[in-house]
Amino acid sequence: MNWGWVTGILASTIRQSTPLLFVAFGTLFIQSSGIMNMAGEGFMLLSGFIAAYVTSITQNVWAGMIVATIITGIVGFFYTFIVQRFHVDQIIMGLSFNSLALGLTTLLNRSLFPQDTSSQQILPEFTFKPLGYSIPVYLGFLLIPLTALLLKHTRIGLKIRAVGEYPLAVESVGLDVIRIRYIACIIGTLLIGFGGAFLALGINNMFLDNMTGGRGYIAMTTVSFGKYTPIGILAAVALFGAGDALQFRLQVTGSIPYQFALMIPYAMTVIALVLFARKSRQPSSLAKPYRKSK
Amino acid sequence: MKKVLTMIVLLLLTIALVLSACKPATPDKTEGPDKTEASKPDVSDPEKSQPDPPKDFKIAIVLPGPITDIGFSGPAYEGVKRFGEEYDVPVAYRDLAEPADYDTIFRGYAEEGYNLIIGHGNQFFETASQIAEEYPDIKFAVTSAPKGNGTNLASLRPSSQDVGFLVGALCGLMTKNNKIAMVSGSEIPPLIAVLNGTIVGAKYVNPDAEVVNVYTGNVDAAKVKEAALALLDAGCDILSQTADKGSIGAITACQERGIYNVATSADFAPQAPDTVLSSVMVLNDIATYTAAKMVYEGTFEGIVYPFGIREDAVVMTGYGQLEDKIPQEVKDKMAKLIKDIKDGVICTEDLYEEYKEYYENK
Repeated sequence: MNWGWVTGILASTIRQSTPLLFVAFGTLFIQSSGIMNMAGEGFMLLSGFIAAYVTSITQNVWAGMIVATIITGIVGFFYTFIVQRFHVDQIIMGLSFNSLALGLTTLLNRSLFPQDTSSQQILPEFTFKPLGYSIPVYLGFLLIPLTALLLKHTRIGLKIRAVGEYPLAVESVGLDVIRIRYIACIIGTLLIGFGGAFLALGINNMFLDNMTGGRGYIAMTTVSFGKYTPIGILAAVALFGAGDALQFRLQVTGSIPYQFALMIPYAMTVIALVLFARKSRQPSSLAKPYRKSK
Repeated sequence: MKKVLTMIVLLLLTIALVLSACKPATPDKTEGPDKTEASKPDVSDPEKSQPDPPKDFKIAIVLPGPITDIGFSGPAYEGVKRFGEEYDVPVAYRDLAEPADYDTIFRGYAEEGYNLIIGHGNQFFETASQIAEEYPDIKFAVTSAPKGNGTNLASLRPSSQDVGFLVGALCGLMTKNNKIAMVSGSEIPPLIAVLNGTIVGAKYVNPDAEVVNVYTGNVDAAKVKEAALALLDAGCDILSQTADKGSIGAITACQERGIYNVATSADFAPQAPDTVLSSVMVLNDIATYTAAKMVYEGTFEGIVYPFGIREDAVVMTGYGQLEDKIPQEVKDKMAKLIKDIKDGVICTEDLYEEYKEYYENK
């Protein structure tokens, strides 16, 4: 083993973790407030498509990132509206939103972008890359202390966690539970939107049908896996990234049969689950619709 | 007010369901494999009438993937569609066929009297052989089938190995440190064949060359990109991949590292003209088109029809913008190799046997 190998794995882990980090932290905000977020996949797809489309028109990645993030936030508001106003089952709502987003983005992708390789264009990249990583990568890792600070040490953070645990208590001191949940969900969907846009622009340089490939669900898993703590989530996200980084490199060395290498990410997940997943620490009111007391 | 809002929500959910079911152009999910495409089925056009054209001629094709993929199912469908348009015959297709439905699909088409039923992939071989026995008047063609049945079932064999052979030869001639990288989307027969062909092609032109392969398990572009970067980290100086649309991940990885790429599945040079040296493709449309034509003209036999370099069904694009970056010697060698194969001086099938030791236990 040499240093090149280790830095290679580290770099690969960072690249794969960045979009997941945004989505996982977005989900953390939403779920901390007591709303179940099954729709990460859908928000990512939607945002990725918008980002790719805006960038293809403006030829500016940041325009794509920002427009996609904002639109995802707006869609997130309506999503939350449906969830809160009609007390829709949050799991079904999330899953149907994912279906909607998958169908819609596939349809739009095929109608707005040419599908043959001769005319489909690779989108422009992030040009400013200190130390080889684009700005969103740094933002992603900056999110960890910021989120910890916001959720643990600010008034709004406390309110978000409180409505996730025991909304009645929050209402009893005269605060608006519904409004706090809106705020948490909008912050959350903005973050997810940013992550989805980065997957399209920072990694794939284009939109591909169903390009998320389950990353929305993985991000959701990392939140429970990381026990709703920023450091825990980082560790879980890194674990998923490192699994692939490691197994590809083991395949290259040819030291073990590739079937074993392909198994590594899954094996790592199972082992980590056995070791760490003793007690889940999800908010007590997660997925329970809140009805204002009369 | 509340009622109106409820209605809106219900409407949205319905749209969600409809859109999600909307894998474009997928035919109905139920048993009836009866989706026909051509608009004027029975009108025979006197202007371009053939010498004794078969009456009520119609073709059906069963595909494992979506008709929108770029390397396998899509082109196969294009081939029969083109035939249908040129000869004015109706063409039915069923894409994303699931193993549990094979029997129903083939039987359905046979019952409806289709003259030719194509199963695009060797997974259809068993079903097709069985039904071919029951319906001796109907012709069957199965892609990559091990053999024909001598009468009404033929094997169309587009040579994925030949694709690999050209990829490997070009990589083997271009590499400076003899480390050739390959990213394989998954461990399925056509992709394994490309990999084996690549190893043979590389060894044939450059006995010192080694092909290092990584399987990704799927063709997720981001994953393919990471696999490619792992290979480039290990010092490979030229890379190829069999990852359909996910190929773009490997190509952008090469672009970032300033490494040349040899693409497969489709012509990727327009997307990265500074990186893609050439693209090698197997033209599945030629195979299905030819099968349709043979049945139409009555020359169809139950044998194996190869579609490789010699048949012009495996082709290599030009070098595009990188024409000047490639040594003349390499270009000459590639041209000679292709010519020799077409003239029968080199038989690729023999080479695959001869070089077996290099890929057999991989």
